[in-house]
Amino acid sequence: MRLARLGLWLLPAGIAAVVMWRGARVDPAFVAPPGEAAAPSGLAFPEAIGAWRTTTPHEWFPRERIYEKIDGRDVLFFQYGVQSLQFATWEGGSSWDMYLYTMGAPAGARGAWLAEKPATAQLDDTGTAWFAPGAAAAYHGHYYLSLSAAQPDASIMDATNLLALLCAQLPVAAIATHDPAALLPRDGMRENSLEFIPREAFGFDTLDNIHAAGYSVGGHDAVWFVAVASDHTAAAGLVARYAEEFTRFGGSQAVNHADGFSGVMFDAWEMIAHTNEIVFGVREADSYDTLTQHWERVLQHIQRALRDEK
Amino acid sequence: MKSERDTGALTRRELLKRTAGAVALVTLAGGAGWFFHNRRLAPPPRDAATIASFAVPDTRGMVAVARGTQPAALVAAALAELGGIKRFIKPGDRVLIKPNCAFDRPPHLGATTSPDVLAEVVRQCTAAGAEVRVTDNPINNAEGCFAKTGLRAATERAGGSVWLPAPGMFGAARVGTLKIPTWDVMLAPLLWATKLIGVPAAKTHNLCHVSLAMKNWYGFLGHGRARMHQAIHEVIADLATFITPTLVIMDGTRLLLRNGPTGGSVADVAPGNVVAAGTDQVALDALACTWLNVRPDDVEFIHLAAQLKLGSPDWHALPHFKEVTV
Repeated sequence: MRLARLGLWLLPAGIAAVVMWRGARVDPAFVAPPGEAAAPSGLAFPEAIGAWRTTTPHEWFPRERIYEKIDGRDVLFFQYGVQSLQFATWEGGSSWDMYLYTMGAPAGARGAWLAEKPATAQLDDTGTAWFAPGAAAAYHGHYYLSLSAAQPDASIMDATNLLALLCAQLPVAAIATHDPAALLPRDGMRENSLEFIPREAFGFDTLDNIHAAGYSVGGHDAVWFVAVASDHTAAAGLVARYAEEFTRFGGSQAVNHADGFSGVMFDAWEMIAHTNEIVFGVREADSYDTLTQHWERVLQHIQRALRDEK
Repeated sequence: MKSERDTGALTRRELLKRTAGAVALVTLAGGAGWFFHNRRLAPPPRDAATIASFAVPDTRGMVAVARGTQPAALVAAALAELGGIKRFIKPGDRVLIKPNCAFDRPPHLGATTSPDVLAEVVRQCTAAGAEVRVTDNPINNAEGCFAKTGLRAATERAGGSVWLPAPGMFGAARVGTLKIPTWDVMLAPLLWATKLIGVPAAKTHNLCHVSLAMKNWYGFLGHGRARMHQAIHEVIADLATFITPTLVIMDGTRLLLRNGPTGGSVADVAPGNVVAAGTDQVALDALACTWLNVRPDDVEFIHLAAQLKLGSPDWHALPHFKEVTV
């Protein structure tokens, strides 16, 4: 009994002693500025690549410190699952800042690339790089590489050359079996309408990691969208949840089709279906006729893409 | 009949002992908390310097706006509407200029003050017979920031010099009344100067809507200022208490409308073609909000600064408000 009482007194006294001891011996890493506390990391680039040289050491920022470099713009990259940022300045014929973002997934890299693409940007032949005055960017696997010139009138040739050289330095990434954006045809796509929506596309809780673009068929516009699920079952589940959400939030004239579903909400017609793991759909059609015209086209394209793949 | 001890009830002696124990524990815990709370976060007030006002007498409540496409001409025109630079700067003055040089971004991305605007402010001051130094304590490497933003070249071209931050320049100063009574600041330049001119870039900010004249004084703060983002509006109002400038030249020649304070894309920037000069930093901030499509009423630090009577958000009602097109 006496021992227990003594213990009751000693416990808080011991805690107080530990607090005071720790307080007097602060861990320097705990109070040091973040830049000094974390060792730099990132991809190793040679000092010189072609005619280009880095003028300052590379800086590397993990996700939680990325605001130090892109405060305010970091929110955009969080949407696309940014993991880290590597920064360096390359000097050659002109001076370019390199922002190399490592994203969680290739879809995030493409999403960030699309989100940053100015409306006036020009695409290269591969469709994976764009060029605008004073800026250029490309995606490669789960890397998004952005170049920003010291002068807005810097040579596009320089940007093309540096971007290609830097991309060649990036590790070859495993590319998804199906490239979702490639499943949307370039022919007939409205200019600058391609977008990647990481979460809750079109207001649907179920639609994540969607690529969408606008198309016109017979003078009538609609939006086509596509996503790649992990397998057939997951794709079927996504379509089913979409249908359930559509009905719950006021959709009408809902009709189930083979592996798909159609209906009208707020005077706009939409349809969604899947083939194996590929989920695709059409929405914002102004009538059922428009919907079916678009649907035939998107279906033909998806089937052709899958056939070509085989 | 059983005694209290036999029944297990508390005796007076036991009650007193337990109460004394509880009081001792609470005192110990409270004392330890008090001892460690905010330890070394702020220097003791008794050691902190006070920065005097840099304002010129009889120049309160002045704002002039100049619109046009030539940055240097806009600065000159706005200053002329205030009575000319010589009303504020005298021969022999030591003028400290604080642009926004917070990030190592090229000037066309709008995250920092326009080199053309800064150069004209420096030129006007040197022409008035002053020694001019330009300083900032950027988030990124200071030397790189001054180089990439073009602000070093602009300063030197116009006859001024750049004063880069170094450890020996910092010291404790009394700042404000709301959140930071004292802080480690870039003291040496502030003690050196007889006049102080802020040249902020008008831009959006993800935490406080806008980064303008009052927010620009963040660049005088030293170690640990990132912590202040948790109470950013109060801290900005404190900074407006801390600094009473001679003049503010608000650079709206190009406006960072999105993704501020760093931006990063030309798509975030729009030409503003406007410069405002004045002595009322609250009025200038409220005015520049409208350039950025932000309602001044939505910006808490403007309210706080007005409540502290640091200026008036109603720029139209100032005794000296003028607009000119160049």
